[in-house]
Amino acid sequence: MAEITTERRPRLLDGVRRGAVRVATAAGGRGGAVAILLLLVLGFFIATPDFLTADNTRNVLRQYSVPAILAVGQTIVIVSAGIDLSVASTAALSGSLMGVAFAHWGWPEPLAVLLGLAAGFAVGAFNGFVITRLKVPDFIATLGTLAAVRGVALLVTDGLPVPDYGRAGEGRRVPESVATLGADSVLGIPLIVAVAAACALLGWFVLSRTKLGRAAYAIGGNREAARVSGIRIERSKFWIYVISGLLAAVAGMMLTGRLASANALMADGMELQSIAAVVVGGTALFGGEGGVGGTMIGILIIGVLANGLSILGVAEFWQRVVNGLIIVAVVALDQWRRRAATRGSGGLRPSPPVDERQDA
Amino acid sequence: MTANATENGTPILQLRGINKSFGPVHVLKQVNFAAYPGQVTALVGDNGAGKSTLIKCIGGIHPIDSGEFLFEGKQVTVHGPRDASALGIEIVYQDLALCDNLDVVQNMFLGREQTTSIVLDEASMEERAAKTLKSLSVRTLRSTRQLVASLSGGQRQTVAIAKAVLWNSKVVILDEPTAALGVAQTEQVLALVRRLADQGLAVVLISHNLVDVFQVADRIAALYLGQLAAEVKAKDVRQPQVVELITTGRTEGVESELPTSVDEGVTA
Repeated sequence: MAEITTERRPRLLDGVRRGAVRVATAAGGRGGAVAILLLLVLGFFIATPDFLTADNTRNVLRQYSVPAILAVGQTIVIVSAGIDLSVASTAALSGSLMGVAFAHWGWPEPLAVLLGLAAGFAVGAFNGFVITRLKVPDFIATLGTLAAVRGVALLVTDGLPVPDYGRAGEGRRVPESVATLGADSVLGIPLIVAVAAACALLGWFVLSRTKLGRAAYAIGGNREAARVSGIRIERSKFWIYVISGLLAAVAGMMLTGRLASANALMADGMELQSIAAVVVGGTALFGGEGGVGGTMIGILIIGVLANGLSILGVAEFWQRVVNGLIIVAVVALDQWRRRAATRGSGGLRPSPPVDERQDA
Repeated sequence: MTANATENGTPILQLRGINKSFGPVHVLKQVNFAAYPGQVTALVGDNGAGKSTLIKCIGGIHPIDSGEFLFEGKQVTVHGPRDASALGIEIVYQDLALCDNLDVVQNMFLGREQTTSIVLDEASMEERAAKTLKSLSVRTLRSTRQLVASLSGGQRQTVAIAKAVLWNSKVVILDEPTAALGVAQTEQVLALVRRLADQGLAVVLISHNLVDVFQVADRIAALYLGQLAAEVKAKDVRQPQVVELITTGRTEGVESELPTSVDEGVTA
């Protein structure tokens, strides 16, 4: 096997090769994502004076806060080798439901907000139930809710923007707290960015400091090992989808606050944006690796790219093309890095490398 | 203390008349099995003899159809891996059940992490892992924070065994621990297996390698086509006799526990 050839190779050559692989590994991993982000910022900074201004920076951060919140939940799901395609639909449902409850039904503000969160919880729990109890693959289950939840949002709003002035109560638009968090700034920092940062911190905490996070990495890394080690895979996955649903609800309500309005079709395509951010940020799609920090770099790459191209006057249609290609390129780079790293350690990933020093 | 358990010491784990079928296939037939504290009991048998099924029944992966499961003399029922762990039974599976993407400490505590309130207590887990590895005289690991993916086969086996003894377990079952190892690493793992027994644990060793078996085992239990052919003291038999037990279910000079004729009893 490969292990034997590794062992026999001359030391110097081996050292050089390992060094090269290490550099490639760092360049393609999170370090690579940071490098790409810095290159993009530098490039746009040189290309146009309008890019690196306080106003434009705030603008990018504000605009990408909502997909960032979705991407936090998505990171936890993908680390556990799942995928949640329903996050954007869930955000739209939560925002719409909260808006309708507050403006049309005249619910008190806290109850309307609570209803929005409950909607996110419900969708997450439904995903979790279908995946862990009915054994429907994650991709299919959440593809189903992607469509169905959008439908529920349309039913709730009759397909009209909320508040709909024919039906809204006197002076009822969106809940005050949500409007403040979504649209206001304190000391020049948009509050919606602070909310996104808080969600990212929460996601980081869950993934790296709790048993649930550890379970997510174990399930994504080696499901069978996790099972015989006594990890309750079903229960863990259920709560991971609930967290994703709740974060989607927060994202939907923040979007409603930012726009001062909700509608059933908002956050369109953001599930793909969130997945792209996770993958660009260095989290493996097959699970077990990555984290929220990388995802935040990923969402910034996507945001900076779109914003910079807009400022440069690149037509929106072209932006989509470039956006898609960049995602493919980053993941291709990541795959190449993985193969290089695998060769570097000798043998395929599951087979342990031979350690010459071990028996010495 | 228990290292020199007497000849008629009480088994900590005892199975009586265990039956297990998968559909029409009767895999285990009236199997009796026992493991004693301070002793290494080797479980030998040809492929398909039922060794893996037997340990999976002990570990709660497969429920038994009928028979008695006694632990420390009391009848117990084991419904899953967690029940077995709660009794103090740990199994080191052949495929090792380690997560490559986690480090040594994370793997050793997998599924049973220590926490202060809800936050993982990494410091105390690391300390306990290091202490356990030290108590097993493991010196081959450079760091307890190494990723398991970067370990050699022998090191992985060591981590898997350390994971099993971390929980003050009383019975440790090892499924072919030396199957994928080189000569030096096999020696290390066998020494470790012996040390476990010398510390008073009941060790069950599954192996195809009779040299390994005779090197560390106190007792040998041979399975033949789902039935216990014999359970003997290692010092009372020689290797050719064990080979005969494995391949035919009986041998001269060893009293077989099989009913009169095995071959007629087997139709599957």
